[in-house]
Amino acid sequence: MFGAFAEAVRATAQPCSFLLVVPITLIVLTTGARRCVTAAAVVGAVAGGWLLTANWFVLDGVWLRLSAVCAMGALATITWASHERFSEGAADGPIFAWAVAALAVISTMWWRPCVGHELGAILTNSQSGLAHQLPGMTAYMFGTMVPVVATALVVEVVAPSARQRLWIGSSAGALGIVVSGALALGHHHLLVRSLTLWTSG
Amino acid sequence: MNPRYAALVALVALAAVVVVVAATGGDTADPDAVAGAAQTSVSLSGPTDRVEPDESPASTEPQAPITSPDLPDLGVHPELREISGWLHSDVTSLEELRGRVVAVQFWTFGCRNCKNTLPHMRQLYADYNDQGLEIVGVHAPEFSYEAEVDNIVDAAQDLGVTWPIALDPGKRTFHHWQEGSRAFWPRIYLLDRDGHIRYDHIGEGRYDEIDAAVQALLAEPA
Repeated sequence: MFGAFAEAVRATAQPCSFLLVVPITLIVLTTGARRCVTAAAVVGAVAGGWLLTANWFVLDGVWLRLSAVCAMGALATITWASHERFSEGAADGPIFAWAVAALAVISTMWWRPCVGHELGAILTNSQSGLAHQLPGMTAYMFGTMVPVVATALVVEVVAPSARQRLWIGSSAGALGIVVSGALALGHHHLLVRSLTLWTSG
Repeated sequence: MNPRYAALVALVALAAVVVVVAATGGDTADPDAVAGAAQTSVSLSGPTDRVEPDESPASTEPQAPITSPDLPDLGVHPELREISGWLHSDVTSLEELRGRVVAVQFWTFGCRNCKNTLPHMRQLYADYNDQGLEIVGVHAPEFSYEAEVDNIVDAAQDLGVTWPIALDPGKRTFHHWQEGSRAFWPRIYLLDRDGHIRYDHIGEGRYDEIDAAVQALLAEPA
């Protein structure tokens, strides 16, 4: 299990993980990086990882674009709601947590993972016995969420003012809308390719 | 405890975990990551004539008795669909390779994990080709530039891929062979001499196990 976790942590530095890590980080920042939404994001990512292991569903073609449009709408709503709740410092509560979890699941469907040794073993073995691979996949997904959790902790340590928090949330929301907008326009492959070329030369 | 201090402690702990992961290289073996419930352990000598040993992923793995996986009969291989052409081969179908053990690898030259497997594939080809192993790399592009034949030819040369390559620009074979919604690069199937799939692995790794499976299939009577 540690091997899976470690491989996932290493993979977060590779472009194939960016379309998982970046959107979820932006979503968490948009909602103010509160603990409950960060936890919801991690839970959503783990759930998405289980769906991946089960080979149950993939978002591609028109479904990918549709999901991206939905994500744009959700992010815009969350950004607006965060702004409205400015005095409270951040978007919080069960509705935001559910929305974040759902967006995290969608992000795992955008993701095209690096299939290294550990993830490869999990996916291979899941064909003959799914249940036994879920702990390993859970560990893997926790590993992919390390940057997300770290970002949320940094925000908590820095404790930005309400105004700064609003700026961070709005910027993250805008960036998230741009990313999901690019996907909605059918630029998924372009994004992945650009990230790949950018990081690997 | 003040929430900020608690978050700081958690952040430091997380950083420590990341340092430990980096220090260990993340190569800790997962005991669950072993194929099959029932396995047969046999000691097989490793290849003695390695190709580019410095680049061989297998050479970095701990020395241990090589475990031969169970090789259940997973049925006759699916057909190759809409292959637009072949490189490095006069063969145009898998049926023409009956009587040989065939490793079918789905890959694309832009895939980092695929490229990581190539030193082992080169070693496999060098060690076992003259003993009856053929490798067929089904090149299924993820991006449009990977579908350009000239780019594939250049990449194959750069990467030292000398075995037959079946071009699958529409990924019809890629998706036909891999059931379910998701299909993966890299993925290797081993076919026995009768064209039955006997081994399947997604992703990198298990190089010793693949070697052992190839040796076991080559040892089977035709």
